Amino acid sequence: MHIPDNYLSPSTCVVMAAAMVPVWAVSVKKVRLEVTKEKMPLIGVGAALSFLGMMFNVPLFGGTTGHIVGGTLLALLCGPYSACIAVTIALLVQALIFGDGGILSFGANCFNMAFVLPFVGYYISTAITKHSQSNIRKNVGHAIGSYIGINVAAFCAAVEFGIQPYLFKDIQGQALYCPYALDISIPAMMLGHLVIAGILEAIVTVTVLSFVQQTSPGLMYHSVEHKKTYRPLYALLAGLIIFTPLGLLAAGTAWGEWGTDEIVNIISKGAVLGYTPSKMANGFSFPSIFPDYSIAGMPEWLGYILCAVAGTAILVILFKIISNFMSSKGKYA
Amino acid sequence: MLNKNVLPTWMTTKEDYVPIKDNSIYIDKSLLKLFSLLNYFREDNTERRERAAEIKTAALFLVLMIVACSRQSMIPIVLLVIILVRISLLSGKTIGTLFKKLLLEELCTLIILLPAYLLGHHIAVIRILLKITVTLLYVNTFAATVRWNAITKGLSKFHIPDLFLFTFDLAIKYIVVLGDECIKMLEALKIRSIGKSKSKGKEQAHILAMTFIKSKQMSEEMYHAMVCRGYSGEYRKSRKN
Amino acid sequence: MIDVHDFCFSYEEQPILSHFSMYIKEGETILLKGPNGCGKTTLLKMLNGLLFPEYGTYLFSNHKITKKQLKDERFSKWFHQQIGYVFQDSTIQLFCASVEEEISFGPEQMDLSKVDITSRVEDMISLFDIEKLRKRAPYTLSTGEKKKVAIASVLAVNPSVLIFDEPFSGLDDQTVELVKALLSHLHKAGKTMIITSHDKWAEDTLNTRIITLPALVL
Repeated sequence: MHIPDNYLSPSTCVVMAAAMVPVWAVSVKKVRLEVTKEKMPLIGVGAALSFLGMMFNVPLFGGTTGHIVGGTLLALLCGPYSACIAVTIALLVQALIFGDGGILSFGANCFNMAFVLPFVGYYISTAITKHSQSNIRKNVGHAIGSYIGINVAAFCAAVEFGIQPYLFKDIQGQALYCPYALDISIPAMMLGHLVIAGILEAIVTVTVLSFVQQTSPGLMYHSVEHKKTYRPLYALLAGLIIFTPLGLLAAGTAWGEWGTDEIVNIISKGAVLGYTPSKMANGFSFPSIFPDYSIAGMPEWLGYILCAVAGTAILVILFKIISNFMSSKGKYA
Repeated sequence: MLNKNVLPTWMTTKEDYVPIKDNSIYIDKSLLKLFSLLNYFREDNTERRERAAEIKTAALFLVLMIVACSRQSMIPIVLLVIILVRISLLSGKTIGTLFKKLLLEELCTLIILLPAYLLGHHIAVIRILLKITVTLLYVNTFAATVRWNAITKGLSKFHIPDLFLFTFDLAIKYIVVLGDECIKMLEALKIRSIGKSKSKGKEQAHILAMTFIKSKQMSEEMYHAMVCRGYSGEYRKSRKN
Repeated sequence: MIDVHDFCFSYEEQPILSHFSMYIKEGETILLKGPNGCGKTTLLKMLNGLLFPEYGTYLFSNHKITKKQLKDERFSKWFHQQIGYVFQDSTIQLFCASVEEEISFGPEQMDLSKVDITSRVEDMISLFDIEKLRKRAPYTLSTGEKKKVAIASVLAVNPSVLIFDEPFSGLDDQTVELVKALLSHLHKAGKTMIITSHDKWAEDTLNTRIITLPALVL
């Protein structure tokens, strides 16, 4: 669901970024009030989980791939505001260091995956599971919430893509940015997410939440339990890191994440696109250290694992640094 | 007993004191510098471990050599990933201090490399920056995770003379002890600085003089303590693991 | 006079003071008690503005004492003149070349007239009966003599609040009697005093209010 650079016009990017500014401001304020220094590592682990989840590509239809985001999972673990911050920072690390997801389109990506996804998923989940002690109802609620969350987010992304050809055309009528209008972008994005990616998101959300509930229930959001240890989560992260190369197996790029060299050959509505939208061909490009999660001179799978390790370490470090600025009033009983 | 049974009159009335402007920020600056110096040497930093310090010291030198000799980016990148994992296991406070230092060092490096970058040597500059970053990360992490006395213990494995190591150990220990004394004196001076100081240099000199006198007294007392415990002039220390 | 509310302070992640509050009226004498390591010295340093709490407020004579506030030079100097602190180890607060110079240090800072300075120094020297120590360097004195000089140099600036950190520790009986007599006189003269001591004398004699700090650090 990552929107790369040059798929959205600068004006769209600015509007989406502007829309995120108040969301970020409120989230930061809420996190400063609610989250203590001791709970910060959980948000860091959450961001790392989301980051790793996004490295696992799953094949969707038409030779494209998708990935889970884990936004609802994070919201149910740390609260929607913390989830917003966590996903934002995971996306930032991806964009700057691994060249995954655009820099200019960062605002749009955050809007979809750090705002819409966690908040929709969270409020739907809690509406269903409110006042319920039944584990089955809780799991069903989490599953439905995360399923709807990711699909609403995918819909938003589809709309952002789809309006580009209407609004930004050159003299010949060719699109300057994303060339696929709403009638293509919505079905293309939604089909894959409704049938496969959404289900996967639901499964992962329920599985990880059950895992945390069993091994360390004190870490859950609004939990009154006392058992609190990060060890199982770190073990989960380590496990995910080892299996990241599986994400390389699914050949094909996710819908809407093609490179400028790929897009000219993309078949849609039975016809090859045939041209590279001009703003994409001569657009903005950012030199990241590990472009596309690869390291020069190393086999792809090894590079992928090392990138997964590096990304996780960077996120944990970032959140530990942020925790230095958090209130530690928790230690004063 | 007190020489008089009555306190002087001025002591029984309220003092209507209005201070005049005078700069005493030099005391705060000295205090700040001492605090940061001592924080570095203090041995009660729980992140610092004693285990296998000599292996860590040798490993550090090896890593620095490898980074310096590498011609491609792959090895420094792999080493970078390893040290990032190590750093992610430290506490937030240590990480914060580490990166604050690193930021300053990186800034200096960027300024020095800027002309080369502007002249078009992009790849070479990025490679140098990568190598410097990896080197700095390893050195700073080493400093944050290995105790000073563990380093000297490690060095003893390399047959460095005991007397040298003993003097080195003592020097570090007494930097902390005397630094502490200095801080206490500066704090006392700070709360006694209530107005216009006639000569700030004289005050600081007095404090340094008192520190010197204290160090002399301490070294004499330490000598007497060593004699009482059997010291006869030759230093021999068996270091247990 | 002194209003401390909800002080929280920790050292290396270990809480030293947790939600500590106290109020001291003008002219009151407080005995601060608590086991070793309970944060007495830390609290005293905070009252002096040498340390600042992580959370909580401190009002001195209705002035808010914060790091920012003490950056104002003139306010900071007034504040330090108002609170006199006699350290447990007198050595650290004596740094002049002679006892006379040590006692006159404070009044000279206050820019008093030469007459006033001399009169205060003479008053202190005669009060503590340290005439024969006048020209001697403080670091050469005995523990008891150093304590007398330290107290004299603090009293010379006539603070309204006096803090004595373990005033009797390491002193011989004669000096202890002297200090006790002085504390009685200061109490009668209406000085606000905070004393930390394990000695029962202050509890019994000075009509003190006792504030106990709980042990937080194990």
